[in-house]
Amino acid sequence: MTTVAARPSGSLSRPVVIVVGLAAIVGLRWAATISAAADAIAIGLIFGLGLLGLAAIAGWRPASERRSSLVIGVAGGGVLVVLAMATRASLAPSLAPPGPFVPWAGVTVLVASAEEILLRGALFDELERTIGVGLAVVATSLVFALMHVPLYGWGVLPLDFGVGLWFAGLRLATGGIAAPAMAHAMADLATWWL
Amino acid sequence: MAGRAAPRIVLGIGLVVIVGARLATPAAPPLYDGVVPTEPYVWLDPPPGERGGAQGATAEIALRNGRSALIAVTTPEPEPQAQIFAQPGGLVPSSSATAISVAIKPVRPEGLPTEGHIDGNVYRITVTDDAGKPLTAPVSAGVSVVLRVSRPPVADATIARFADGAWQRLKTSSTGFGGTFISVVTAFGDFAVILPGSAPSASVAPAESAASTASAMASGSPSIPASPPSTRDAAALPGWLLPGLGLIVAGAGAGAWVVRRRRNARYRGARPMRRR
Repeated sequence: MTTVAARPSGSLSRPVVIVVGLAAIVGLRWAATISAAADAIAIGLIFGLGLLGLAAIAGWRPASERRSSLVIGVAGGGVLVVLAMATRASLAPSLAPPGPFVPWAGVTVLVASAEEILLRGALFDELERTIGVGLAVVATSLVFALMHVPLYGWGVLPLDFGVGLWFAGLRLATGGIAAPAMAHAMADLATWWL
Repeated sequence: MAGRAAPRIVLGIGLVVIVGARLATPAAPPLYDGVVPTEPYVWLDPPPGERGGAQGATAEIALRNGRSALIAVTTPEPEPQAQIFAQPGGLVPSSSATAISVAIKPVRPEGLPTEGHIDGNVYRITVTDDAGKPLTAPVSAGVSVVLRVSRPPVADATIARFADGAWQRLKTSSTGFGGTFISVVTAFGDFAVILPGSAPSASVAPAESAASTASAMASGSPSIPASPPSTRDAAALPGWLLPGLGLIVAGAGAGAWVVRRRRNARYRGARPMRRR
């Protein structure tokens, strides 16, 4: 005998908990950064683990991914990097962060993946069930843009909202978070060279 | 929105928004995101506990067929505090010139801004040809100056140029990395980052004092304290913030636990079905 129950739908309580938790974690990261409570790598590590913890609390579990997801993710990340190179080429400011590459890259990949797991994974799943896929795309992209405002200012909203839509499109195209996570990590890692 | 076209529609809209945003802020990184390690700022006149010894940079750039080459001069810190970039042919030397000299030098400010306060060092950027002629640049050349704030993250900063006895604010955009900001310039001189508000405990001391002090007072600018600004003070956190955020995190965790528990209770109450 097996117990089967339709999954509840229509409740926004879980998405709200995710967004409130995310806001708190982003606020703590901002506070820790601005008060120089620790170095940026350590803060980034804790931030990424916090996002993963929140996704776990929200009940997110990894789904099986298509084999093509990583390839699509690489292509999606490549588009972002090429666009950035095309517009930055004439200005070419030196933006490479100081310090060793390996720990920076590791934490950068962790943070990018954790953001995707929480936003395009846990939050997207919940919103898709409760308010539909269209609003889930818009809402997760808006949250993604807003979460970067404390560190970078309001000027980031258009670009990060557009990139959020791009990642959501990758999620829709592949059905999982591997593609947006790959594209996101590539875009972040590219700042070492651009 | 559903069906097989949905991903293409979302990707298309996203691409349009990205391209529009990039054209509006060409200095933006691929994405405003990531881990931002920052080096301690090096001051010309360090406040207590801060690092001193700010350095400048110079470069001699040979002309090719009378045209300037790509110019990229940065101060020597691991994370440069001042940088200048110019595209090939962006600067117009005199016809007899064979080289261009670019110099970036930290200097004391010759005046204070009427609004806001100077953050970090003032950098004097001079570009001359070997005939000694100071060069300017057309807007189309995209000659850009990049300055770093003393204590990132700073979301709202403006690069200004000191001209005609006052700080002229330039259109500024964040490069998104390490608290650096960029402006396209058409003339050279003294540049600094201006942050909003007055420095709570200190401000940059101008190089000369009597005249500029009198000028500053006459123009209504803030009084001139002795030491450079501390954006850490400006960004000091209210005491309630961290405990408050901790409570929010705890509340979110508790909320998630309650939601999960109620949902599990609903599952347990669901009707069993017999599998054939």
